[in-house]
Amino acid sequence: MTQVATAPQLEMIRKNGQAAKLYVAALTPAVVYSARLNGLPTLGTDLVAEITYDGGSGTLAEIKAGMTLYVGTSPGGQELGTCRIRKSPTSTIMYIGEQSLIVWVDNCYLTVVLDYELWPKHVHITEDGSVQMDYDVDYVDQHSNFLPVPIMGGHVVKKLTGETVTVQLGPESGTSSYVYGSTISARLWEIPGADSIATPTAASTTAVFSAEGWYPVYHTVTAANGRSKTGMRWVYIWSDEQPPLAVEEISFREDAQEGGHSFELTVSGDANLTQLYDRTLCILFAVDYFEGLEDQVGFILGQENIVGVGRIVSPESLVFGFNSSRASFTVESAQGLFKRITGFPSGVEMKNTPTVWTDMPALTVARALWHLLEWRCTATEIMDVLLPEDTRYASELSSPLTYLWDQMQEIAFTSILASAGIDAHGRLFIQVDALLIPESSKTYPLVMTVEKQDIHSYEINRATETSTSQVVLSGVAVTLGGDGKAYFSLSPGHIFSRVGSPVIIDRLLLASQAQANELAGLLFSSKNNPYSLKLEFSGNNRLVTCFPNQAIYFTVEADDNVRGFEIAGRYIPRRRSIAYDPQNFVITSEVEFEYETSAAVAINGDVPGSGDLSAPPPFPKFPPMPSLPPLLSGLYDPTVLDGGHPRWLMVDRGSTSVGLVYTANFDNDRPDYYTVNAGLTADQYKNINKIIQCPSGAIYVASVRGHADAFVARADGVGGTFEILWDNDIKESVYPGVNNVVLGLGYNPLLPETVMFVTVGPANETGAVHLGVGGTFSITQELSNVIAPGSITWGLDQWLFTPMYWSFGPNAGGKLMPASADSFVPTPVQPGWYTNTAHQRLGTSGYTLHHSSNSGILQLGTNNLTTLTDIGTVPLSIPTEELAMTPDGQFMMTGGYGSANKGKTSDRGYTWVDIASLPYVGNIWVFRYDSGKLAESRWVAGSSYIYYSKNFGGTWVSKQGNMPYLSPFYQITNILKIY
Amino acid sequence: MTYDYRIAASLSDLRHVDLRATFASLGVVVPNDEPMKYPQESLLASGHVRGLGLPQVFWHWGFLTEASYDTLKGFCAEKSANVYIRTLSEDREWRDYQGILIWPARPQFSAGRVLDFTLLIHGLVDQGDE
Repeated sequence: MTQVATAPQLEMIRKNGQAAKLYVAALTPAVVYSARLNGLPTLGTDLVAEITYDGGSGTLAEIKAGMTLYVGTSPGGQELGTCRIRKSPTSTIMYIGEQSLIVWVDNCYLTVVLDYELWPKHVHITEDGSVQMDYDVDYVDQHSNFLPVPIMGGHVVKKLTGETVTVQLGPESGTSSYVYGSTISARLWEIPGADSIATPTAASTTAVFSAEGWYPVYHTVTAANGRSKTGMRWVYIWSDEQPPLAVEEISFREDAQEGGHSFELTVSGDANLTQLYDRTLCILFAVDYFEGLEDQVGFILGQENIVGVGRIVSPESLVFGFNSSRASFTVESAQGLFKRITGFPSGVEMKNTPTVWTDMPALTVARALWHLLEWRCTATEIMDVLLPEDTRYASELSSPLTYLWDQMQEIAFTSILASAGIDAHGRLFIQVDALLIPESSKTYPLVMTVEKQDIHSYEINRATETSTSQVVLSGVAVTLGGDGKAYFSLSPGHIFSRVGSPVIIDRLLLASQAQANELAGLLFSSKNNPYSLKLEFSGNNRLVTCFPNQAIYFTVEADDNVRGFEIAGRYIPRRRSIAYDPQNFVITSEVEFEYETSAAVAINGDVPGSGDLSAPPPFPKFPPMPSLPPLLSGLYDPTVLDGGHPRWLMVDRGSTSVGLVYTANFDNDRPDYYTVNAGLTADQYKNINKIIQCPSGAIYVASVRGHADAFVARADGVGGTFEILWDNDIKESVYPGVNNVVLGLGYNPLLPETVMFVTVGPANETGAVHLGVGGTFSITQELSNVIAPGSITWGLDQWLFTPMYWSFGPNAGGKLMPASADSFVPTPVQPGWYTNTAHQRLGTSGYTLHHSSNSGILQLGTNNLTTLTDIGTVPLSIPTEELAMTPDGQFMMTGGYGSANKGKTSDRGYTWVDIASLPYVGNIWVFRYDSGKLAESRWVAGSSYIYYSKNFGGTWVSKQGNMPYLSPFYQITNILKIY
Repeated sequence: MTYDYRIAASLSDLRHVDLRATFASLGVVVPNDEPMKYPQESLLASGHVRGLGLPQVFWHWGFLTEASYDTLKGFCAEKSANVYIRTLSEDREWRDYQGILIWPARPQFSAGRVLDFTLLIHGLVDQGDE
C-alpha cells in the first residue's frame, strides 16, 4: 500500500474553499426469488439447515450462496426471521445456514434477496462424532489445497451526469488476491446489469453504467491448485434525479481500540422499512470541493469519495414531536457485527499432513485466522481480508471465546500482538500494532508531514511517570516440525522502574532471543508512551486514518508552548472523528495520535527454575499459616453478589463432553466458560465425577466409583496442568490387575492442602490409603475387605471414611482416622445401613448426613458417627455426597428426588418438594449452594442447562453463556464454587 | 454596470436565449447582493486564515411587490429547493451557480408589498462559463 500523500494532494487539502456534500447510499435489496414453505422442517425449529418450498417465482439459478433469505408472514416480509442461503437450492429444497431461531409456519413466505451479509458458519458434529463445517462440508483437503482470498477493494459510488458513467474497480495498489500454498492463476469480473467491463480478467478494471441503481459486482479468483472463490461488492450509481439520502447530521468516529468506525444517521423524511431496511448496508460518501470545484483526494482509485461503510445496527431511535418527527440510526462497520456474532470455539494445530478440520500445515497466525474467516463466517466473500504476513510458526492456535471478534483478537494478539481493524472502505486488516513492530521492519507509510497550515490547533499531553514498571515477556519459537524453544525477556531489567505496574506477556510466538528482547523493549516503551497528540485539522483531510498502520510527522516547536518543549517525531493515529456542517458544507476532522516510540532497553529473562538464584533476590519466606477456625454450622458465605459468585468449576461429563469447564464471570448475564483440562486425556476428563479445591487453591479431580479409567489428578489451581497422582497404569506396578478403582477423595478444609484418597484393587479387596500434604502423597495404610466406594471428609479433628465392607454385608460402616494418626482405627464406628455409603458433612463439624437407598431413611450422624438419628423418609436416588446444602444443612437441593430428578427441602430433609420452576430435562440435575440466607439463598443448578436462582429455587435465570457452543450436548454433573 | 441577475430551475433555462431567467423577464427588481466566497473561516495554527465551505449569496430587497414575491416563490415551493442562479461573485464577476435556495421563515407583508426580504442561496457550485 502506498498511502503517502503526494504533493498535488497536499496542495489540494491546503486550499481555500474546501467543502463537501455528504450522502448516505442505503441498499434496498432486490428480490431474487420468492416461494412458499412447503411443510414444516422435519427437525421442527432446532438445528434447521434445509427447508422444502414450492410456488417459486424467479430464476432459481440466480440464487447464490451467501444471499439472504427473508422468512415472513407476508410477501417479502421477514417477520419470522432471516437466514443465509448456504448453497445453491434444488427445485424443492433451499439450503440455509443452520439455525434454531425461526418458528416456521407452513406456507410462510420465503424471499431470497440480493444482499450478502456477515453470517457465522456453524460447526456441525454428526452422530458419529465427525466434524463438518457449515453443516455438511466434510474435511477433504481444504487445508492443503486452500481456497484463494479475493481482494477487490471496497464498494464504489459514482454519480451519473451524462449518458453513461465509467467506474474504476479493483483493490488498492499494493494489495491483491492471494492463496496459501499456491498462486492466483485467473480472475474474472462479472457485473449483471453493467453496460460493459473493460478487462474482465484483470486484477483491476473499469466498467460502464448507464442507469442509476445498485449493481452487484462479483470477482472470482482461481488458484493454480484449481480452487476458486468469489467475492462480492456493490456499485451504486446515482444522479440528481435519483439522489441518495442527504446527511443532515453526522457524528463519525473511528477508533483503533474499537477496531472500526461508526456514525449516527438522522433521517427526518421518509424512512419506512422499505426505504431503510433493518441491518441495511449504508455507504457514507462525499462529493468534495476544493476552491469551489469538485475534485477528490484519496488513496484508492475510484473510491476516494467513500467516508465509511457499515450496516444499521440495533437499536434505532424514533422521535416524535409536534413540529418534528425523525429517526436516528447507528451505522457500524463490520467490527460491530463481528463482536456480536457467536461462534463455536475455533482452533487449529500444526499438522503438516492434515486429515481433519483442526489440522493445519505450516501453521501461522495468518493461516489460523484465514480458517476462522473463511470457514467460520462469510467474511472473505464480502470484504477484503488482509492478514499479517508474519512467518512465525505456531504448534497450536485456538480460542474458546464466545464472539468471532474476540476469537480473532485472541488468536492474533496473544501470539504476535496483532489486532484487527476495519477501515473506511470496509476492509479487514489484522496487523501487528505499529508501536510493536521492530525498527527494522517498520514499513508502514508516513502519510504526511503535518504543518501548522494544516491544522487549526493541537494539544499534546506529556506523561511524566511510567505507568508500566516492568515487562516480563515469554514465548516460544516453533519450528515447522512443531518443536518449540522458549525465550524469556525483561524490560528494562530485573529492577522495576520507580512507579507503575508490572505487565506479564506470555505465550507469544517468537523467532529468537534477540527478537524477544526487542519486543519486550517495544512493549515497555509503548506502554509508557510519553506523548499523545490531538490535531484539529482545518479542512477536508481524510487522508489520515486509523487503518491500516500509518504515521504522520509533526513538530512541536519550543516557541509554541509555555513549557518550551520541542518534540519532533512520528505519530500513530488512534482515534478520528469527523464533523459536518451541512449549512456551510464543511467537513473537519480531529485525530488523536500516540507518539511512535522506539524499543527500550531489555535483557534476557530468567528461565524458570534455573539461573542465578541471587538475581532477583529471593522473596522472604511467608510466615506459617495460622490454623483456621472450624467452619461452624450455621455460618453463611457473607459475600452475596446479585449475579452470583463469579468463579465456578463444573464438570461436563459424558462421551461428547468437554470435561472441566471454568467461568470467572458467572455474575454476568452471559458467562464465558473455558475448558481447563490440561494434562488430562480425553478418557480422563470425560469421566471426572469428583472435584475439590483446597484452601491453597489446588484442584483435585478424580473418577471415583469403579470406572475403568479411574484416576486422581492434581493441579496448582484452576487452569493449571494436572499431574496424575494415581491411575491404573501406576496401580498396575503395585497391585497387578485391572479395574482398580478410586474409593473416595476428600480434603481437610482447615489446612492449606491436606488430601486423602483411597484406592482398591480387584483381587483381594485391599484398599490403599493415600495421604498427601502439598501434593506429595504416600500410602499410609492398607485397608482390607473394602468392596465399594464411600465418602471421605474431615471434621472434629478426624477423617471419616464410609465405604462398604465385606463384613457389613450390603451395608456400610464408618472408619475414623484421628488427626494424630496416619491410619484408620481398626473398628468401624456405627456400621449402618446407609447402603449408598456416601455421606455429607456439615462444614467441619461432627454432623454428617447419611441415606439408605433401601429404606429411604435420611439419618443425621453426630460426633463423627457416634450416634445416628433418623430425620425422615425420602427416596433419594443419588448419593448424599451430592446433596447441595447451606452450611448448616437447613436448606438442601438434590437431583436425586422424584421422577423429574430435582427437589429441595427447607427443613433439613424432613420434607422435600419438586423444584417446579426448573424444566424437566430427562437428565439428573446437580446443584450447589452459592450464598445468602433462607428463602433468599442463592443456588446454581446444572444439567442440560445452567441456571442460577436468587430465591431458593423460586425462579431461575439462565447462565449457560457459551456452553452450547463449547459443548453442544453438555451435561453438567459436578459444580464447585472456586475461591 | 448592467445587472444580469437570473434564477431558474435548470441550467438550460438559466442560459436560455430568450433570457427567460433574467429578473427583468421575471418582473423582479434586482436585489442587493451579499456574496460569501467562504462562509466559514478557520484560524490556522500558523496564524493564517483558511476559508472553508461552498460559496453562498444573500439577495436582499428593501421591499418586493407581492407579484414579485410570488414569482420568486415559484422557484421554491417548499422550505428549500435546488435552483440555478446568475449572480455577482465576491470578485464581482457574473457567475452561474447551482445552489439551494432557502426560503425565509417570516416574510413581512405590508399593503401589497413584502418588506425587508432576504433570500439565502447556499451550497453554490460554479457551473463554468456559458
